[in-house]
Amino acid sequence: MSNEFEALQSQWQKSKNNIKGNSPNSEEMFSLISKKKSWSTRFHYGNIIILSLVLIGIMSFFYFVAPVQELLSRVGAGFMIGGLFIRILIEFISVSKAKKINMVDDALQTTNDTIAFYNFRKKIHGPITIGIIVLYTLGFYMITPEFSLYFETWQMVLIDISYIIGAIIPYLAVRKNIKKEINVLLEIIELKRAIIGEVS
Amino acid sequence: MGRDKRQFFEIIYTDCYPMVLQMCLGYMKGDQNLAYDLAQDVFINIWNAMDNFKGKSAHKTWVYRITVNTCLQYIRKEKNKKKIPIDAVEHMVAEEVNEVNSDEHKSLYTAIGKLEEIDRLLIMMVLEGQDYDSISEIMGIKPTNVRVKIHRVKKRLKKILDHE
Repeated sequence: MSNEFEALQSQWQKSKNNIKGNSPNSEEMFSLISKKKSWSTRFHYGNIIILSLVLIGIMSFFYFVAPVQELLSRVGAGFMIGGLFIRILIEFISVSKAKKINMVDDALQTTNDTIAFYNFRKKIHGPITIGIIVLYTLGFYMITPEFSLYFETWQMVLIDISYIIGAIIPYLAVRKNIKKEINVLLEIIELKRAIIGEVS
Repeated sequence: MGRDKRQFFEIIYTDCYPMVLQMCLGYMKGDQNLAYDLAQDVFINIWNAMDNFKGKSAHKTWVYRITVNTCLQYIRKEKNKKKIPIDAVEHMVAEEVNEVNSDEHKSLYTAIGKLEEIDRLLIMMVLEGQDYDSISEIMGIKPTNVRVKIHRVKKRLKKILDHE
């Protein structure tokens, strides 16, 4: 077997020499990785930007368009704004946790850190996000009594129905994300088993 | 600092690019587009980690660690992310795509690609000439465990090559 392995090693070396002669220069690689890095930053902060825009939109609506007067409505508006604010805060924590996964650690440590990160993501997508959607919905329905003073009943029915339809979309998105990230988590746990050599 | 960092990056790049790309090719079962994309990720991670490079280990061991971790994270990360616009990578790929993958080399990468993820990385480090202690340090497992695993992987690889 050792002769065969040596042959394999020499084939490997030959293939590497072939790459050596064709490596792009460092300038080229540098510009490629800069491009890719800025794209990756946009991806990381994309969720935060979208949520922040929604938050600004809602705050502007309550400040400029419909400044609610009753206490119940004000608490409701607070729930809606507060829920979104918490979600944005969690996204920041998530990005910072992702950045803390140290690629310089050994593979087992990095895998453990990745498992911890996905466990955190599982919590976010599970009880925390659902809690925030509930808070947001509660806030919305606390505002409707005051809104009903200014809108016709049929308009209120339309607003309520559109909210329910609007709520189904984030619910489905959350469900999809939970499934996706749980699969990733299971794969990484499996990977850890493979690294330490447990039989699954 | 910026200039020093860039110079250090260039040294690492010149020294390690063939090794990094070859490991990426083996990990990606010889798929060149994915391997180039993965190699870029490795160098992004190298660039990001350079400020914290203390020189405690040889820079090659440090690059191996980053390469192994980037490979292990890559497939999972890509599932959560839309693909990067293709024009960001195609320039480089177009230049090299015909150069690296002769049939002889492709069969080597295909054979390695038939192994499990961890086994692929282990055998490639052995092919690179890394000793068991270094591999154990890179993987975070005991050298005795590394020895047993590599023995098994070699057997498995032989079986694969015999059946081709």
